[in-house]
Amino acid sequence: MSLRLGGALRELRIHLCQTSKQSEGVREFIKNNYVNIKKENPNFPILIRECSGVQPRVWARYEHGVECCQDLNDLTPDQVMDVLKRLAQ
Amino acid sequence: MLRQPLSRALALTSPTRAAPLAARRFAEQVQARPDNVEVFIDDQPVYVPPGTTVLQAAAQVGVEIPRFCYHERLAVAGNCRMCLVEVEKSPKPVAACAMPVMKGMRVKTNSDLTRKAREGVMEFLLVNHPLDCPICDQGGECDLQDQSMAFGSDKSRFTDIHFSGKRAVEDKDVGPLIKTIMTRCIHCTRCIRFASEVAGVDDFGTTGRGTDMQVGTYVEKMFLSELSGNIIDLCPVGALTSKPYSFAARPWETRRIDSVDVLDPLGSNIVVATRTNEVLRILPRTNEEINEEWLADKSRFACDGLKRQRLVTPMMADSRGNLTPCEWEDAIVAAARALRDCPPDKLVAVSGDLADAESLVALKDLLNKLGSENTCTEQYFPLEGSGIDFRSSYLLNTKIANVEEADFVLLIGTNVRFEAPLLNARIRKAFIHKETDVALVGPKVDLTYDYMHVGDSASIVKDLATGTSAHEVLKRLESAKRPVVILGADQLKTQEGSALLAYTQELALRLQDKLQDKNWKVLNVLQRTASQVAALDIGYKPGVGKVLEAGPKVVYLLGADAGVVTRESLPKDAVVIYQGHHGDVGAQAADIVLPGAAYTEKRATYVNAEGRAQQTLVAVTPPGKAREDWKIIRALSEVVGERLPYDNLDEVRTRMSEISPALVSYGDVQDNNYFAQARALAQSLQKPVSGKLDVQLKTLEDYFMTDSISRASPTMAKCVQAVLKQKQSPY
Amino acid sequence: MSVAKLLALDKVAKLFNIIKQNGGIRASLYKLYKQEELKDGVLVGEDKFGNKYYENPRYFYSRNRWVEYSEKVHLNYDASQVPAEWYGWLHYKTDLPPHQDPSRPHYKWMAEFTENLSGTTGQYTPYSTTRAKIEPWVPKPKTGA
Repeated sequence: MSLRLGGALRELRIHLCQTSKQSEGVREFIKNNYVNIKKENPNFPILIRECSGVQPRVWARYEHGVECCQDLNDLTPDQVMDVLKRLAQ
Repeated sequence: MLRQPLSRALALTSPTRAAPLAARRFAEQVQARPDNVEVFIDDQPVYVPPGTTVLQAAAQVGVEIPRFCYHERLAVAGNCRMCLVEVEKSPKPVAACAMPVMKGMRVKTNSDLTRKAREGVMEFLLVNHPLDCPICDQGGECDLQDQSMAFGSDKSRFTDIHFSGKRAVEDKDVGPLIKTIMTRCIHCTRCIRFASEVAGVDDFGTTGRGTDMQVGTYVEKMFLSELSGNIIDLCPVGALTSKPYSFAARPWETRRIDSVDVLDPLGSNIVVATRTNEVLRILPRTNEEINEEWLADKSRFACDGLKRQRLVTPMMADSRGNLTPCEWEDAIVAAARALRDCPPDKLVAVSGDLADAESLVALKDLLNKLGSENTCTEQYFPLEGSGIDFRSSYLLNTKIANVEEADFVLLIGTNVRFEAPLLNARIRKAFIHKETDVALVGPKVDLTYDYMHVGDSASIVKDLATGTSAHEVLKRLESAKRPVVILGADQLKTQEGSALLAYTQELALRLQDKLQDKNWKVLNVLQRTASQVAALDIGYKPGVGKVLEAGPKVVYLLGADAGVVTRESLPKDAVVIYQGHHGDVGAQAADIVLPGAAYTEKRATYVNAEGRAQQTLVAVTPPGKAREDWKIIRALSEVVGERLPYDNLDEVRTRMSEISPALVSYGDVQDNNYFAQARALAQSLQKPVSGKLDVQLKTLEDYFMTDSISRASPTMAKCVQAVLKQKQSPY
Repeated sequence: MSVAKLLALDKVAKLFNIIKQNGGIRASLYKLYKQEELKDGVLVGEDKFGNKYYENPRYFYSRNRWVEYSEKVHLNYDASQVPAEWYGWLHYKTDLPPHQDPSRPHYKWMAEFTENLSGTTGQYTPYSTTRAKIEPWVPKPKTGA
């Protein structure tokens, strides 16, 4: 699965919990797909910020500080990928 | 409005909060001990594990037995005899601090015999104690005063004053930090035990016997330890007091505010004592997980640097380039004009050592709104591979408290003794009590404990990582059940930094995969400053090299005083805006100076080296026209036209939680994962390394003046002089 | 008793005398307006500010000696304008005015006499002489360009 990050998108931040069930999909996603995504976009900041007890979310920062947030609660890894693809456009 | 989900707010599922302190032991669960012994303290039964002393058992019940020489964190001495209590069926009263409990022991802490013993001991202590209370700094917080009021007799029988009188002892000179008036010493030997066990500098001892016993260094020698200030807290009487604080104030006059120290990366908890809006002294606050109850010297004594070299007015460069004081309006309008007129890719922000998370967030938001991505930190960290994406790549993943549980520690390119003194104290604690072994790759430095010096070339790390090293360290690492690898962040500055990090990650993960304890993390990176972790969490790009090459037009320095950005490295027409609290290197190079608040003057968040967010509270108000840092940036944003969406501290913290929720979970440290992913990306960076690892802080005189506050402090200057002078001495 | 005394004509003569001594009707009316009192007396002396000092033992004690303030101050006369050397004589501490008293001290360190400046712009306002708690940073001047 390839994901081109760039253009108007400047930074991706993923918040997740280390142990809760809602973040299970996000955890799997990072475990399986992060390395590939980063290899394709070596200089793009994809900040993974874990904190116990938070709702999993992804924040996308575009040009001029415009930010967009998507909830990743109870999503499967594929659904997470779709969310990221949508944000990358 | 709950910022966090209900489960966390009710602490139902939070793993870091649900378990008590004992749960920091990962592998061993706290077993239910069926063999607790029953003891009766004042007819109250209490069940304690065998091996606890009577004093500890009484403390569990709530009975405080008076003592002078006993201290929980030092070895038991039993020489003050104040803790004598009556135990049934024992002919003599028993020293509660040294006596282990036995089954069915009945202890009476308030009987006539106990009371007589206490009064007697107190009387003996006061026989040779000088009548110094009015001039003694310890008055008001003196154990001897408190215990003589509570447990001593009301009459004195001392008539010898008309004959041979009280004993007097000469004062000893142990340095510019500790004032010794040894006449007041009651020979509890706490300082001796501290110096020998915790500080590792075995210079204190007793000379002579009986009345002529003197505690000191025997020859006039400075106490060369970075933890020397703690003996001031330990001494129960006014024999060892703080020299910079002497005759300054009485404890009841001061207001005490809890806060966090930012002069080293560990974020030790402190108490700031103030009176009439000036900081008088800084004392440690007990935090079992970071600093126990000790505090390093720089954090304790550099507070007089907060009164010198302060920026109190906004300044602007006049026609000749000299900075002259001006009004806030003029400075902000000039700064806003510079920011607005600058092309976005030539706008750079550099954060310094002592920047707090609120102002870092505000500055990044402002720069992003203006279209610039060039927010950097002075301290470098390699961005290749996974860079700062995973928190586990740049934090102390084995928490500070858990380093005590390690059985082998490998230090790579870091002099932990001066970079994080309290972490060194933990390693020393493990070295002494748990027989942990330590190995060091780097220059040979004195760490106060014995270690295996593996060498100082960077290729050793490569050999260890790939398993090809012939040194026995590799065998020890692989056979250790809880190994810890600590890499100093300074080593990552060079060209080979990313390779070094890659190899360390490889080594750590190779060791971690083999461990039985699945929760134990091996990789640790020790940052040098208190602001680096917060900046990397927020998304600042570490290192200024690349952005300086591009020739910036406007450089915004947020307390950047390390000298990484100099006037010479910038183009001639660059505008430098400096926001900070001390006039150091950064302000000298600036065109516009905006005065901010130091760490004692603002309510701010700092994240320590293990990723724990803590907040400082306002102890004094910022001097002159100085203001809180994030508010300056907010005002600037208003004038620039890109208004930031927060107006008060709560809104800033909401914004911080949007960036990283760990920034606002105060007091909690997160477990960070994804080592494998980081390692996978680092595989391609494993290039041969050939350099030598060198540390910046090699000896004690390098330790004292490392950031803008300690460079402005006259006490720190005196310390450096004294250490250099001590080097000339033959002892 | 003579007729003059019976009809109080000697008092009228005294009045005319006072008016004549003070310089005529116009001057007497001006003096009356300024200092609300018209007296005659022997001019004992004058100080360097222009204040004139008079004495007349006919009046009772405490009104024997008085000062007529200098023309320079017009209506803004004030008791503190009497300099130190005349103060003693005016307040009956001594009978010798300054120019007849040999025991008055004259040292070169004696300051100029000033009147009470409260309420004027020259008043003393107390100020703090304590050290500043914070030492501000003084930037090094950039030499050259």
